[in-house]
Amino acid sequence: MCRAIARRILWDERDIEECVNDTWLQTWNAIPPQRPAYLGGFVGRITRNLALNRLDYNRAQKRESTLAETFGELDNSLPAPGDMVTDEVTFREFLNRFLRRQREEYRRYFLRRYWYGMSVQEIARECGVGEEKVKSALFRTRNKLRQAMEEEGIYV
Amino acid sequence: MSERMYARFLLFMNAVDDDLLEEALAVPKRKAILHWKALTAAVACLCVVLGILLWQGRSPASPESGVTAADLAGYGYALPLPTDAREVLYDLLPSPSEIPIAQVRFGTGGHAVTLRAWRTEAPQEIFDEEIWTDQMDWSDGGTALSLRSNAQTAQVSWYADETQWSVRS
Repeated sequence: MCRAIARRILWDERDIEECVNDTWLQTWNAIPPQRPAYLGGFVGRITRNLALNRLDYNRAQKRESTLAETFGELDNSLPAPGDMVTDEVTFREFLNRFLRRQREEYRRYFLRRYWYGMSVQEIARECGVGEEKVKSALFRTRNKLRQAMEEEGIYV
Repeated sequence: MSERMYARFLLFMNAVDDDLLEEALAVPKRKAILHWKALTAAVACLCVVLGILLWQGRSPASPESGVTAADLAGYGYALPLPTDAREVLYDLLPSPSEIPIAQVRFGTGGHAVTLRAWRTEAPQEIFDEEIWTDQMDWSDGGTALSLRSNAQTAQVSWYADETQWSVRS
C-alpha cells in the first residue's frame, strides 16, 4: 500500500524506495506515544506526507507526478477563489463532513482517484464495476463538492 | 501546475481523515455480497442433492404387482421408496444399452411420483421430453444435477456413480 501511494506521487524508483523506508522509521518513532485507531490510514498518511515533501523538492526541478496531474481534474471543478480564503482547520472539517455525507461507494471512487491517483480503469477493475459508472460517480461528486463549497462559502 | 493549484493540492492531500483513507482502499462490500450469493446458491444445490440422497436411502415398500424389486436388483438397481409410498408399481424399460431403465411408480403426499434409474457411463435424459417453463442445470466433474418444471410437472435429475437418476411428479 505504501509503495503504491508513493509511486503515484513520485516517479523515481529510488525516491519511492526511500519514501517507504522512511515511512517505517517514522511509524516506529511515532508509535508509541501515538496509538492510531486506523493503522492503515495513519501509515498511509505518513507515506503521503513524505512523498509530498519529496515532490516539493522534485517540483523545483520541474518533475510532475501522476497524482498532481490527476488533481488537476478535481481542481478545475472547484469554485474560483474569493476574497477570503478558508483556513486549513475549517476546510478540513468541511471536507470530511462532505465526504461522510456521500455514498460509501462514491466516496471510495473519489478518494481512490484524487487521493491515491488511481486511474478510472484501475478503480473499475478493483471495485468490480464498469468504467462509466466510476466516471459518472466522480463527475457527480465533483459537482456536489463545488455546490457544497459555494453554499458554505468555502474558498481555497 | 501553478503555485495556487499546488497549494490547493497540498491542502486537499492533508485534509482527509485517516479512517476515510483506509476505508477507500478496503475491499468493496459488493465483492463480498457476490461471494455470499454464490455460496448460498451452492449450499441450496447441496441441500437439494442431500435431501434426495437421504430420501433415496430410506427403506423400500413391498412391490404389489408386475415386475418386482428383486427383478430390478438383478440388474443392480435398488430403488428405495418413502415409507408412506402406496400403489407401488415396479417396471423395467428398454434402453439403448443392454441394461434396462428401472422404474417405480408410487403415490405419496397426494402426488403421483415416477422414479427412474439407469446405469450408464454418461448423464442421460430418461424421461420423455416436455415443454418446461423453468429449468436449471449444474455439473461438476462426474456429477450432474438438473431441475425442470412447468405448470403441471416437476422433475429432478442427477447423475452420480455411473447411474442416471430422475424423479418426476
